[in-house]
Amino acid sequence: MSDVAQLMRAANPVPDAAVAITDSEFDALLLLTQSRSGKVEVQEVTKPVEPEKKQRRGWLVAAAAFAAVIVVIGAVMLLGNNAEELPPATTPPTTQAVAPTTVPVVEEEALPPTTQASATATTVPTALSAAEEQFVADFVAAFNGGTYDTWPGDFDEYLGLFAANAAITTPWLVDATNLETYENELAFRGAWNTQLTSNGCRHEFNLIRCDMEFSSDGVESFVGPVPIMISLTVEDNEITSMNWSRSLAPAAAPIDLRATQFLLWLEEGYGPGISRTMFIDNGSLANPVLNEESLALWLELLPQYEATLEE
Amino acid sequence: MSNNTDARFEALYRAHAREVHGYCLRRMSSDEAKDATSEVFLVAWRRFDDVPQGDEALPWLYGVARNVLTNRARSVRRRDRLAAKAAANHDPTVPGPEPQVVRNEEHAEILEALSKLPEKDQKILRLVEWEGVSRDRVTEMFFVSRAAIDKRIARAYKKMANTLGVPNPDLLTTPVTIEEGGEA
Repeated sequence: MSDVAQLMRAANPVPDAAVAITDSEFDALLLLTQSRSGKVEVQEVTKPVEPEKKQRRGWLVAAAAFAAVIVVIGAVMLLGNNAEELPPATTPPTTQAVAPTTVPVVEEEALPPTTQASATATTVPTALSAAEEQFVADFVAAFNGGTYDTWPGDFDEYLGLFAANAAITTPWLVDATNLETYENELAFRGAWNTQLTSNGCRHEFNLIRCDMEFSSDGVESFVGPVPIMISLTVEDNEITSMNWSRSLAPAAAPIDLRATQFLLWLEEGYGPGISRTMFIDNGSLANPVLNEESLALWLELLPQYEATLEE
Repeated sequence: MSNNTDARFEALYRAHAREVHGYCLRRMSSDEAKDATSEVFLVAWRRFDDVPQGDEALPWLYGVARNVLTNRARSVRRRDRLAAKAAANHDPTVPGPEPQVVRNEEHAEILEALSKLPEKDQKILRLVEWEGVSRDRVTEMFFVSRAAIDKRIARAYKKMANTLGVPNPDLLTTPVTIEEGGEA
């Protein structure tokens, strides 16, 4: 081999590709790619088959109704014949634990993998106690306050539901561990005119899980709606931990994709340094840094980016 | 896409994404390399039926990466123009988006010599020496004959040797080694 070839090989800036990326970054990159590809799939494949699905669902409902009628008739006939052999009727126990405030209509395709239906079918959740039901009702009422800019009256009440040292993680605050950073996210979402709506909460083991949906009609580039599941650990009527699980289903993809576009726009206009101020580099390019300095930048630059979309 | 295809895609990713990421990282900044890697596999996902099996998969992915990087280079040129206009907002203390290779000063000389070669020769040399792609594979990727590849590489080394003042350019006519996948 020539000296030049040796020099060339020695100048390889990444001599061992296997160690050039950490395992967590590697996995995060796969998730990002799957998320992006899911977006493509839902546009190209899912929508055209929807009418057929609804039609099929109609037939299933009709068949189920017919079967139910047959069963009822059979039961009535049996009761008529054997009424004296049956034990006294009792009220069936309540097995569903759903918060009082619900917004029921969500496209099936848009739901994350774990839905209320599947959870109740497999685990038979414990019903909420009266105190827990009240707590969830308070939580949902505060959450469903509409847009964040209407929150000043309820905002403190909402934050008051958390323990001071509550551990909180969200898809946009992967490193967040406290209430203060969560407040930053709330301010951030407030700037987007974001709406958060509960589709119901339930009890699972020691957790309360709420299917939520957030959307924004204020900022086009971050429009959802995106289904999320929030798990709350509640102790002594306080939230001690909160975890947002955003599905990587296709419905969640627009957030990442559009944030990535925003990042490209930022770097084109303001140089690459700005992304280090406004985004966390953890394998995904779409996790914003939320602190006082970056919030000011977000609030200043996001509207400018939005304006370019309208051009 | 079926679960089976999902699993096959993930297997493809886990088998080759590190190499693809390494390819991108040799040519662009860390942040950009990750995003470009994701873009390469996004193309692979969309065209999954076209992705060759076995040993041919990685060269195919390198080919996609080459196109992704070419497209991005255009974007970077546009960005640089905009960045110049927005210089007042630029924080000079933050490292720029220079490719990883430029940061490594001890190899600056060889990289400068490399940069003086025609673009196609640069790409071929990097693939052979940095990615370890065999010359036979490179011929498939560039749609040229094996003899043409050998000639290009020999000529490229000779030019680099002249630029660097390395005294043994005659050795450069020895085209390949066994480990590079060619015939002696």
